[in-house]
Amino acid sequence: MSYLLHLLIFFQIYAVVAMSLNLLIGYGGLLQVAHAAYFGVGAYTAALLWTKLGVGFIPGLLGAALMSSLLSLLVSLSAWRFRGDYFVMISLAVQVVLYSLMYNFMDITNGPYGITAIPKPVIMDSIFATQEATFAIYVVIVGMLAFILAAAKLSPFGLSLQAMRDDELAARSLGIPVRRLKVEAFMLASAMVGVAGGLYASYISYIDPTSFTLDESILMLSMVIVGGTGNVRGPLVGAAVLIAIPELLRFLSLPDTVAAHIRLLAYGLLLILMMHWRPQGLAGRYRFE
Amino acid sequence: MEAVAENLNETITLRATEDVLPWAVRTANLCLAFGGHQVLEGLNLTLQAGEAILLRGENGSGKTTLLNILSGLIRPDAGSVLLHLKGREIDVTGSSPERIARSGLGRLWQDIRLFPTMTALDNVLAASAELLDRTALAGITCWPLIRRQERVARERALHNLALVGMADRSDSSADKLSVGQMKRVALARLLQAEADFWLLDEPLAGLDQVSAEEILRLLERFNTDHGKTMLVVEHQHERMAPICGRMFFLANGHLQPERSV
Ligand SMILES: Nc1ncnc2c1ncn2[C@@H]1O[C@H](COP(=O)(O)OP(=O)(O)OP(=O)(O)O)[C@@H](O)[C@H]1O
Ligand SMILES: Nc1ncnc2c1ncn2[C@@H]1O[C@H](COP(=O)(O)OP(=O)(O)OP(=O)(O)O)[C@@H](O)[C@H]1O
Ligand SMILES: [Mg+2]
Ligand SMILES: [Mg+2]
Repeated sequence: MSYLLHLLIFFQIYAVVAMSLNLLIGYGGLLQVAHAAYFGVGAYTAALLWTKLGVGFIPGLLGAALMSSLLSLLVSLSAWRFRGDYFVMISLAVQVVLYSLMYNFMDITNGPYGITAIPKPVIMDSIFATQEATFAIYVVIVGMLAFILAAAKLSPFGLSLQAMRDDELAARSLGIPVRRLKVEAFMLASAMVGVAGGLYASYISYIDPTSFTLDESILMLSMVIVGGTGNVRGPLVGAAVLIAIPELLRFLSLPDTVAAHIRLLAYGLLLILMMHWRPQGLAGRYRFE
Repeated sequence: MEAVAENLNETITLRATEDVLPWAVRTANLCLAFGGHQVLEGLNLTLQAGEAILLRGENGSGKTTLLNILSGLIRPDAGSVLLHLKGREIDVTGSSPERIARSGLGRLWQDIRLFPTMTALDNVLAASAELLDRTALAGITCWPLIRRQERVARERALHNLALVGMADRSDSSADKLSVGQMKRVALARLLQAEADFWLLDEPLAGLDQVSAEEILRLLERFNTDHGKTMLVVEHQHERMAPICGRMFFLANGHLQPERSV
């Protein structure tokens, strides 16, 4: 177990989380407070496909992507009547409902006991059991996801999202189909974070609902806000910083019970400082308002 | 003042021959009240394809409200709006702004409303009507095709920026431009969106003499050379009248034709 490699693998996973959230927040101006729930849906879907159905590693990840994005489509369609600010409330409700499903749906998710013995990646009969091997295969997968997200952001789709973020009414009056754009952005971001959930499950080999709470969603939001929105670099910086904070605090060797609170305090302080001194984030382009 | 009136009469007789052209926009019996206050009361208006109409009226008479109904932001209490653009005739009463825009209606907002964080070029590019495939799936899968479409759209956007004299500012951020420059980019955006019917809400407001004259020349050119149909709301009617064929005055919810100033 190399500590540095462990951090790097976490960075890979959260890079996908932050980049996909940035598509919504930074490019589309859409506040998503249920990202951790979709991350969890991906983690559970992949874990169940691998452990219960014996599906292969890559098909399991694809299943996670599909499940998360279909779920977001379902949410978008059933909340079709709600607009703008109300949708944040819907997204909050989604976070809470999905969490309690994970917690209470004993038959499928095993409730608070979670799912154990989630297998390491196996691709074409090669097992990626060691940390080095996991890191290597994750580099490839995360690289592909980053490429897809970058392509989306640079495409007419990304340009239209930015136009919508800047002035929704002006965009609509130029014929830009903002409703469809929003639904698609949520589906794409959910698919990506679903895969990240699968990578997470496989790496730590055990999941339970506590990893997919509202607090986690807020941590994910912080990554994007701290790193900076609206460009590709920002969320990577944010993910690295927010992964580093708890590790740095470790060197203070505080007792466990205090450490958790100190960590939350540190996040909060960081957010406030960022809002005050650098609202565009450490490496961002667009000022988050 | 007399010179203007003379000039105007001349324009009217010149444009009168255009009555044979097909209609482009037709509203029938538009009614709208805001909480008991009747703003529009059976308003009828027909624009011929390619004509420019000047709309005047006192503050609060309902000019912007009329534009809002035409562009789909407000649904009228009664009456209908028909568009006959791009060879199609459609009833757009109560349609969404997106659909109306795609039918060929474009608007210059009184407060311009460029996309502030984007460059002038991206502002125009984002408006490309049918040229770009905007779906996420297309964005992440068939990018050779997308790239080709985008190249064509980009060339057209640069061309349109050149038409409004903004080619050299294509990389400037929209919020760094002057009001006159912003209006030019907004006009390029309408060209890019391939709008055939332009709603212009006070296009000369906030401009100095020189800029106003330049915008006026552009509008005249897009009307006569590009055949854009225009409905212009403008308080500086002495400047606007020479390029408009007919003038109407909005009062008490109706339109009254004006023949002279
Ligand atoms: N946070 C979100 N999560 C998932 N989907 C969302 C979210 N925000 C918006 N959407 C989707 O986008 C749809 C459109 O929302 P929006 O607020 O843009 O409506 P609108 O276009 O203003 O509606 P109208 O045309 O009636 O004014 C929502 O119904 C939902 O399907
Ligand atoms: N959303 C609204 N709700 C209630 N009343 C409104 C609304 N929009 C406009 N009005 C009222 O409708 C009337 C017409 O307003 P409108 O903005 O169309 O006037 P206008 O002719 O554009 O005036 P101006 O020359 O000052 O721009 C005004 O009395 C205004 O107060
Ligand atoms: Mg709306
Ligand atoms: Mg007005």
